Amino acid sequence: MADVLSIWIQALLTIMITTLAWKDQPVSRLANHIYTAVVVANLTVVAWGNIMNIGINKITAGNYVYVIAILLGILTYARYSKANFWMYRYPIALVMGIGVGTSMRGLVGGSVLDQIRNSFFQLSVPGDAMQSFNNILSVVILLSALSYFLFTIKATRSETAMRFSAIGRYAMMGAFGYSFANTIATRINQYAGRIAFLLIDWLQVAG
Amino acid sequence: MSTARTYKRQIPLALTFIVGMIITFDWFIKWEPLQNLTTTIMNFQIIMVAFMMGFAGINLVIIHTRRIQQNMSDNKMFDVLLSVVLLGCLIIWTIAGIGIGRNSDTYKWLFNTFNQPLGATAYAATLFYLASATYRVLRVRSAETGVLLLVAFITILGNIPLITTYVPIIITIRTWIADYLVKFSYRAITIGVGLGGIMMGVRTLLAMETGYLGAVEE
Amino acid sequence: MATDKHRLETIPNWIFFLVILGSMAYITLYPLGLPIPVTQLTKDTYAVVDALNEGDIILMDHGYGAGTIASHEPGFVVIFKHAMEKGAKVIMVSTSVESPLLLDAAIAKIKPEAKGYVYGEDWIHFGYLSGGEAAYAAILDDITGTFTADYEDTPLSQLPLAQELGSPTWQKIALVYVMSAGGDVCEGWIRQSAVRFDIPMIQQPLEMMVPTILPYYPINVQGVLNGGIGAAEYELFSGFPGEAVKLSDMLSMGGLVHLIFLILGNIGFFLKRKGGA
Repeated sequence: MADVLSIWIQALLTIMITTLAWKDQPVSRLANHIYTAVVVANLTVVAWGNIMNIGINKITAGNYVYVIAILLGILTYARYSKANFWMYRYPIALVMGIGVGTSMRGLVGGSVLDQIRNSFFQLSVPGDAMQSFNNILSVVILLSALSYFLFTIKATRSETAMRFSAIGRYAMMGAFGYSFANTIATRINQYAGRIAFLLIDWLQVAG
Repeated sequence: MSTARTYKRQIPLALTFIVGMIITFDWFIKWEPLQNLTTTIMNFQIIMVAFMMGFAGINLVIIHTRRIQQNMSDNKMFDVLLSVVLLGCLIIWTIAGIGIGRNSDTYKWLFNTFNQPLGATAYAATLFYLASATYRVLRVRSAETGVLLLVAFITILGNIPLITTYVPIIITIRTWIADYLVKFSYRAITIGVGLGGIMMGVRTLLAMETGYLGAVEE
Repeated sequence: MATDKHRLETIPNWIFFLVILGSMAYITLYPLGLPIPVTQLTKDTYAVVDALNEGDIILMDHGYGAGTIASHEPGFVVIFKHAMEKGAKVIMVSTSVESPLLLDAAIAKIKPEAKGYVYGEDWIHFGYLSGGEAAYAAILDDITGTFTADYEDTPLSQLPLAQELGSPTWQKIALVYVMSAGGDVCEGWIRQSAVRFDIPMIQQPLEMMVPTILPYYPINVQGVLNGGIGAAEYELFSGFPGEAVKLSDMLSMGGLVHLIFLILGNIGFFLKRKGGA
């Protein structure tokens, strides 16, 4: 009984949210409000679980240094007080410092050095004209796309440099076209799941 | 420099620098006490971010409580109802999840019945906006948009088994586009973003970017 | 200035609505069952999982939400099944708040107990992990120092696989598998595991995020599944057909409809320009 009720509610909510694509009206607004509430509530529940698992449990096990973490967490709510807002800066400063330190150390290797290192190709591959062409094209695309973003060096604004960076511009437009096509595929896939639910699980007209 | 400015601003900035440098040095120096300190600091991060996830709920309560008051005085009863439903669901789900338990059958039933279909459909319903945008906005107005549309066209064809079954060359072209055109264009963007990220990180650690601290009250 | 549009440029929105819904519903009722070509990206992903040995531990970031379940769940199911075939053990964390609650449905499709897999000995779900990249770094350093219990609140001391992990955890991990809708999550894992420790990695981003991950392939990421399409290819290639293959016909129909809209809009645009000239 609970399963049947669940499927009917799921189907109703699916249809309610879908009507938003047609136009904004009371039914879709109601569904939107319910959605906002349940997402935020789930966020709160999961966050509470994390605090218990990673914080409180450690304190009860005798690792008292995590009391500082809990206090810092509570201090984040000082943002709601105008007089005590400055206390919020302590945990946020730590979060920023940790975040910056953690990501920066990987950015140098992963996003810069590894990318550059793996872009040096043998430009002329003996016996394989297509691969040679591809390698040359890759290097040209990379350098021209990079040069498109260089604004601070005056020489990059000369006519030759502008023409060269135009190659990068066209290449990036092609890449964005690929990205757009993949975005369509993503959305189709997501909605396909809903249609499959409505026809197979709810109406049971397809197998 | 006033004492207030010191503890309200300078000390947090110094903390950002100190913690950032500890984490960065841990990458280069293999020393067990430093590694233990870093791991503890990162666990602190997990807990602090978990607390910050509570902001969403508090903000919703504040906003919708105000809206109820405003809409009641404006006699917009449907909007009042929407806010009441929202706050009601928020309270019920939170009590069920924390009180009864997030692993309980009750909470799982609520999640599977409400969260799952709403989340799946809200995300997926943008398909219709995308179709409308594809039809109304994407035009070959210039050479650049021509390139964009040509590549999009080939890629969409390549994602359709109905077409690729009978025209397999489309897959070869699409693979070539991904391996060379897309990869190296995005590689340039990745390098640019990486360099930008490093610069922003250095500026943040050196207190040149202080926006995260909020408004200056002095 | 009046914006005169050609007739072909003024088709109302509700027609799109109906055409998309109708065509995708039709193909669900009358599926074509077309073959799906398997790309090199999927073959490379398969090869990475196939190279696992018995007892190897895979760290999975079970990071999808309700919005992306149609793309990610089939990939997760088929790779877990493939990992079980190889005798590999699985530890899971979730970087999406919704994914812990979506796991039950996926596990019901995987049926690990049918393969003799015991929870706590062969696979563990640690639960949600907040904190972004710092959290990934923390669990790779010492996962049992971060979590005190699994998602079901069972103390880690009662789970034999958790005892096997210890510190540094990254040395015990043979493969990292990331499923996420967020590019920041995917790139964060690349920085913290592949760049830092050179751990083999496969990823399943959404189709629209794949271009962002391609620069890292095959340098830091040895396999990339192209969202739901990649999952369908993997299902066919590995011999575990599932949900993604069933949805592929709808992808055909939806894509075709979008192509028609694209062509119609541009024909109308060119005809208007020609008429104006």
